[in-house]
Amino acid sequence: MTIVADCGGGLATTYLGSRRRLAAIALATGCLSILTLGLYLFVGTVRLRRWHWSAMRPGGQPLEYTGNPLDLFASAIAAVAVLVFWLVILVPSVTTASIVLSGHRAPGWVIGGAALLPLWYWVRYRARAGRLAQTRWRGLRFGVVQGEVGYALRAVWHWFVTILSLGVLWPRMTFALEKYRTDRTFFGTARFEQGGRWRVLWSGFVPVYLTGIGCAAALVAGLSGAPAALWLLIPLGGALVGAAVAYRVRSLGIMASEKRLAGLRLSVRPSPARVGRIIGFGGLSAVILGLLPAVGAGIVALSVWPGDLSVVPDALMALGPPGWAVLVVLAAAQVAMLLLAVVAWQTLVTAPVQRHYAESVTLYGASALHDIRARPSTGEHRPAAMREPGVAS
Amino acid sequence: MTLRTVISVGLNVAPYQGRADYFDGLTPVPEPVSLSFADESSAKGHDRGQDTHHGTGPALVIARRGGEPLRWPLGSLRALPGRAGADDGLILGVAGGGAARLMLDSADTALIRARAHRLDHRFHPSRWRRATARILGAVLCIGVMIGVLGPAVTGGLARGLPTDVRSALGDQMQDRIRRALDPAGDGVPLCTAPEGMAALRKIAARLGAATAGPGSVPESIRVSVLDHPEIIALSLPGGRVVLFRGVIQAAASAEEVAAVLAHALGHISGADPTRRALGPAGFVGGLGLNLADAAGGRGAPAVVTRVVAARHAPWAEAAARADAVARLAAAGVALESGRGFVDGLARAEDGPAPALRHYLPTTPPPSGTAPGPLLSGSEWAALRATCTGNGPDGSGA
Repeated sequence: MTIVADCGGGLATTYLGSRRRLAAIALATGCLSILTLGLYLFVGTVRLRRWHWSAMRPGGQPLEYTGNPLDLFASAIAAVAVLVFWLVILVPSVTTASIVLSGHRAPGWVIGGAALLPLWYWVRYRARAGRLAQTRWRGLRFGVVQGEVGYALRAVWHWFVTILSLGVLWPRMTFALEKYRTDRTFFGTARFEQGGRWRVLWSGFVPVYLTGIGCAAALVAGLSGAPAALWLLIPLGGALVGAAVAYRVRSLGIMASEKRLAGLRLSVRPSPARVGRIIGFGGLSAVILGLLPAVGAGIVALSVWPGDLSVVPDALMALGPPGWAVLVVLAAAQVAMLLLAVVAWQTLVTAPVQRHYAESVTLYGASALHDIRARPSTGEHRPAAMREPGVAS
Repeated sequence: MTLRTVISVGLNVAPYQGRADYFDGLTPVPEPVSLSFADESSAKGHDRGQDTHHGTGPALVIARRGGEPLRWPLGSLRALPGRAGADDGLILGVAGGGAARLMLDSADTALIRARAHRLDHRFHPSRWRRATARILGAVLCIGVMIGVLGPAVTGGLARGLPTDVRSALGDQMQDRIRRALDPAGDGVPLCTAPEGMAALRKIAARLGAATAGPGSVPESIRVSVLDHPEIIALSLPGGRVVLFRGVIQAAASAEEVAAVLAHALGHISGADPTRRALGPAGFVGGLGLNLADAAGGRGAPAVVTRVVAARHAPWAEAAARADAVARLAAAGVALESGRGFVDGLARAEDGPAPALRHYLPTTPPPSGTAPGPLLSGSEWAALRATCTGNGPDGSGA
């Protein structure tokens, strides 16, 4: 077995996985999740993650996902608890304050809705921490120090600044939040560091910004008396989505290439065009695959009830048992549609995109790995040694 | 079983010598090691003192370059589950979640699989106790927030709101509902025929004076009639009651209108409207009204009606009903028993419309002193004609 996959002095990343197995896992997850009213989703997520993690092999050694369904379920319930807190305690309090201060409920509702923003970032930070705590590479665990509150507050601040700047400072938010996350991430005893400056993301953001302004202008013009302008939204919207994907891929590569880990350096060079092609073709295939059962069911329905399809449910119910059978077929087709689309998306989009990302990663300075040790394991979610951030940023 | 015997006996064949990468779980640096099997018998003859803490069963021996060989008992060998690669070797560890890993080529897979029979048993520890505790804790949190803390917070806030603020809120909500029900025009009109409104005020005064009941209504009650055919009676913050025209049309007598009013007052005495206006239901309802406004087209009126006619929580409905019965009794309002209350409701051919039944008591109020009919015949006629002045739409009797 090769210890080191050499690539011009760096450790290359390989990607190896049977997509047939992935499709089988995705299909089983979908079917069993429906049968168990969603409970199997957590088992399925663990299986999917094991597949994705182990396919990715930096330096030839696969990542290992050690999480389990019960923990995932617990995290999901905790997220629901946060949502309930928001709905039954936060929203009423803010609404009341709003009535007392302004005489109206609407400002409170807006602020209450906006309160979802920090909660969203809070939950996302915790989810990432949980994922990384369950990830091993070469026998060592990753980990993230506590910092969800700071993360959520920073996210709010950056959203505020970004809105004030009419979106110009969006890349600054992208970079700042990535740096906050990265600087609190560990591999063993070694801490990641995000280098670089946010301005390097700007050139990639210009197309997003321009197409975004174009869309907004078309929307405003269309709604204020020139409906023809709304047609411009189709090409402009497409361009905006393309530009956004390109920005995401480029910024991910740029920022990852500026990450350091105890003397280790990453080089990540994903190609936006390649990712765009994968998403485009894979997404199209997913839609076509998803439509197949719908077409089949439509043919069945038409052969039994050659009438107006828009009245189908009532008409079929009136037909008696053959009609009910068709209704069952239609419902099954709808479920099959969803399942096939999900399976196709996993195998034709998620996995190829991951593969492309993985294969564009090279690790330099691997000798620094000799200085990294495992963190003392306390059996906890996050080791005690990591509770104090000790982050100089 | 047989395989194991064959290998241990056939020593004239070259013994297994495999190679692998070993990760000790302490450093992320691979260590090339050589592998061999040790059986019970050979372990006994071998260096005994070294192996005591590993047991003496058949084991995989991992020979490290600079250090003592490790013995991993075959029974506790585990293969990393769920790997993406189809057949590219094994990653081995020891049951119980230790971090040390052994990465083998696919060439050795069959041999290891033949000897280690529990390879595919559970690898990662399940830690179900901790997870279960987390789940129970979170579920308990959710239950307390929904069942205790949320209602307490909303109830406290509702009680703390000054009366004038509550009244303003009720007026606002009435206007919002009128606009939502008539998105094309400038709001559903209020019915204002003076004789009809006077009759209604007479009923309200008699019920409102009956505050000796279990709940009191602190606000001055303000009743308005909305020129809309739905059978809905709304109670809003600030003691505001909004009867839809449909209620008056569906009612068989002034006493039934009084029963509907009493039900609304029951909600008001429980501060239900303010509580709902502040709470999650108000937030979701407001969102629904705004979405329906934005959507405009088909289905929007149905959404609006649903939001407007949404019931209170079951316990609040029960309390309002009990309060209404006591209030009707105190006011001496005798409901016509022919319309039936308990099970007569569903049977009676000319029974009240289903939407109206919600507001009527399910048990007849105890017959107390009956100081005569609530309204005179002409007053009742005027009440039924309250909306007549509003144009052709409201003229239906």
